[in-house]
Amino acid sequence: MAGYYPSTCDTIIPGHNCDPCSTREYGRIRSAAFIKSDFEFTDPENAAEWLAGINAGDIIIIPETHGDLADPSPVLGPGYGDTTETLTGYEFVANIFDPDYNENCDFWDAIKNVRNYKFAYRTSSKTHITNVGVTIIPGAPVADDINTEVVWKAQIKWKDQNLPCPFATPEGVFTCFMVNE
Amino acid sequence: MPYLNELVILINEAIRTSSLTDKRFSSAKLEGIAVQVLRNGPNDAQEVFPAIVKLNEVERYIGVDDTYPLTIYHRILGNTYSEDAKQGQFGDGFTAQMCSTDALMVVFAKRSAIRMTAEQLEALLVAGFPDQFVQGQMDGLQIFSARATLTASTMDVFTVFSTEYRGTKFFLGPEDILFAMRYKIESRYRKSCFKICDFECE
Repeated sequence: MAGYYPSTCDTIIPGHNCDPCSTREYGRIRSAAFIKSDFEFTDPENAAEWLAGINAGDIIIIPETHGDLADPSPVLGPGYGDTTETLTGYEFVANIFDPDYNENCDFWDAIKNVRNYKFAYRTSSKTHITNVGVTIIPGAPVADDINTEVVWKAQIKWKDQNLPCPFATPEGVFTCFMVNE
Repeated sequence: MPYLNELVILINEAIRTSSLTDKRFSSAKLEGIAVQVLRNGPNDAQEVFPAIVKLNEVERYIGVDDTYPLTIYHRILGNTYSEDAKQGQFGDGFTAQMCSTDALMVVFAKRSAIRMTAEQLEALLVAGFPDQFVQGQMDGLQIFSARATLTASTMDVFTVFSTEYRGTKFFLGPEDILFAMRYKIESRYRKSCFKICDFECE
């Protein structure tokens, strides 16, 4: 029996939007969060869902950071037919800095051991959540300069087929919370 | 810029404990931040003199005074503000700032009491001038870090006198030492950490 490639397996490509007057998004990872992988959002723009997760201990907020997300490295596999290569996914690396050095050694020392947390990061007006669990590699380098501060630096790594897409930052989420433990 | 008086007091304490331990300086007067105050002198001439001012009243004159072997006071000349370095910025915006305060430390002494020349006294004060304030010293101050750096000194007594006592007839003798040491205080802080009652609420 001859095989065939059904046309219904094609990816549907949404339209490209262009608006010369749209607002721009600006850099710096300004806040970060770690979200337990089994915590599901119905609507990540809904602040109430975030607050429920925070109070349940499923979401940990780091309200003020600086950091970056490097250009992801493509993972390429063999191509077929006339294509030389196939994009099978990306390797992402984000770096964030947590200024609260004195009180957070236990936190970073514990979270480095977990593999079941997704990573969320906020830019100027948008938030992004990884689709998969991440590897967290914290450290606190000390520069040979008495005018520098010692802060926590965490490298966050993950591999994913898909890009983390932005959504509007929910109001009042990336602030300092006191959670009753 | 808040906390300047507290930082100046720390400077005075460092100088007193490092350089002024000799009994010649046991009754030295080290004052905080003075302001220049105007008064009407003879024939309605306007005279300027340094004073400690509390809210809206002159608390005390703190300039040249024969009672003490050594008198030191400070004056704030101005502040320059800038954003802190990128690694000091967290969250949105540029909330971490640096303030560079240009200040003057005016020194008056009686040669016969301290048994030193002006140059020797200046060198002694340079040796005791602090360069960095340690964290423990700044507990309660809402600033990340601060340091003080000497930049220059004016040893000409007439130049210093004409600045500190503008309009006043020169009254110092050869036994009097008067010079001024210029320095800057660089402090790093976050604007949102200042509370109004840090500034001595009453």
